[in-house]
Amino acid sequence: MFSVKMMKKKRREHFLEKLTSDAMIPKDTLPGNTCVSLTGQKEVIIENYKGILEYTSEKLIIMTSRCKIEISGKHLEICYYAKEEMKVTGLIQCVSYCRPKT
Amino acid sequence: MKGKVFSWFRGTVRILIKGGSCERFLNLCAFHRINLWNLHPEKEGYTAWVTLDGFRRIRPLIRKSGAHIRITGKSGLPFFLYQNRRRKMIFAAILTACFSIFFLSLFIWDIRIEGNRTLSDEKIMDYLQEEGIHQGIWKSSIDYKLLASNMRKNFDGITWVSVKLEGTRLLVDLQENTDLRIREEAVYNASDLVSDADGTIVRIITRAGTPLVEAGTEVKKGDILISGRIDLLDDSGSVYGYRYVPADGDIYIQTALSYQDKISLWHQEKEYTGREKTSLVLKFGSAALVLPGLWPEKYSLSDKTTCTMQLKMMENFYLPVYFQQTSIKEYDLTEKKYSKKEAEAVLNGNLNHFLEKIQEKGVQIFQNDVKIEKTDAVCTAKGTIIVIVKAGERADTEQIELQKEGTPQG
Repeated sequence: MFSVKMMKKKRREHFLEKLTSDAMIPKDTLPGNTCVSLTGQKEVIIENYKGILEYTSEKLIIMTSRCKIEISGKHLEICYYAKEEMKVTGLIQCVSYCRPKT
Repeated sequence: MKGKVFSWFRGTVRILIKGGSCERFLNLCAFHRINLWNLHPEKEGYTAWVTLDGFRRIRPLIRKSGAHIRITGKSGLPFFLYQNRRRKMIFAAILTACFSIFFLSLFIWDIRIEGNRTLSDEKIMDYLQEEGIHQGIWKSSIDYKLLASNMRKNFDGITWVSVKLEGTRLLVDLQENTDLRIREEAVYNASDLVSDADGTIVRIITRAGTPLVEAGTEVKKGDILISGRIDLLDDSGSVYGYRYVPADGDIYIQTALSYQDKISLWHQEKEYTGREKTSLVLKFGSAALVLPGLWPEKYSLSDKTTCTMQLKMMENFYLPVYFQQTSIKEYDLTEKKYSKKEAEAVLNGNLNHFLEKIQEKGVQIFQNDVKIEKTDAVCTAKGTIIVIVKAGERADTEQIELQKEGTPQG
């Protein structure tokens, strides 16, 4: 039952991706897609996330609908934190995506 | 994010978030649309800024998440008003200032004229004064459209006028017709262009009328250069009638200008004594207040320089408050005699200034034969300057009738 649900979800995602690609619609309009905008090494704007999992001045882990995003660096500070968008400043060293193990 | 000014008006609170599930509290805040900013981790937890409205809504979230909140800072208008609630004079002063600014903004405190080239600012200001527009006039008493149309009627040279209000400044923007040809065509009918100087024609371009001279012709003052009468010829080449037009064209004439300048070798020169006094005056409308300790001293001979600055709050928000700085420098007059070189330098300077001035009017200098002569008491610059100038002034065309039998056809 679980695998059927997963299959349906994957198929739906694949269909939507193909649709946006063929219709030349920006991919950030897809539901569940997280948008990460990096400006230089000192600023990152993240949109469409679920919440903060962990936050220290060296590491920020954000939960999204598909994966976790880990931002590591130094003197990390959240300039603003709202439901749709957050802006992080500091010296950003790494942005990584971690898929949850299934 | 909301602007800092807007946040200040609504009030902001700096909070310290402690406890085991701070992240959950942050996520709950985001979910309930309570915006947090300047969020950074501390040893005990996190600090963040939240609006006063947001802070009032976080109590259930604290309970839900189990976090602890401590206020570490407050900022904004609501807190300022609360802290100073007993100081009534501050509020009275703020209210008075706001009312004064509002009241002063209902008047015009500065008039600026832009775009004028031949019309002087003084002339336009005099006209505005006649129309009853001056500094300190009630804004709503001016009919801007009527003023602009009256200005166009009153000044012939103006082709376009815009009168608008910017803050407490009345801006009169205008454009003048500097093309003389257009003006002349509008004014004159059936006229000749006659020479206004003696000389030789250098170049002639005729646009309307019959040219009576050509390049190289010697002319005297009053000679017709382009006639406004055009002969109408029939097939046999004989004149059967005349047509009268306003003569038009560009005529350049080479003419001689006589130049003479004389200076006395003995002259008085200013020598500043070094004594100087500066006074500062604060003016509010017509009332003036000399700032204490800065009364101007009176000298028998002195140069006075005044610099006035009008107070303004923004670029176009002028107020009727002026700061006037006057500096008075004392000097003595001493009799001195120019040396030959100095006198020559002064005369050459005057000559160059004269040449520059006539060149600005479109005159070309062809030859300069001015010589400087010196006697015991005076030094004289004398001679002629050959120039090429645009010639031609209007004169009525003599209307003649054809001495022939029969009347011209057509």
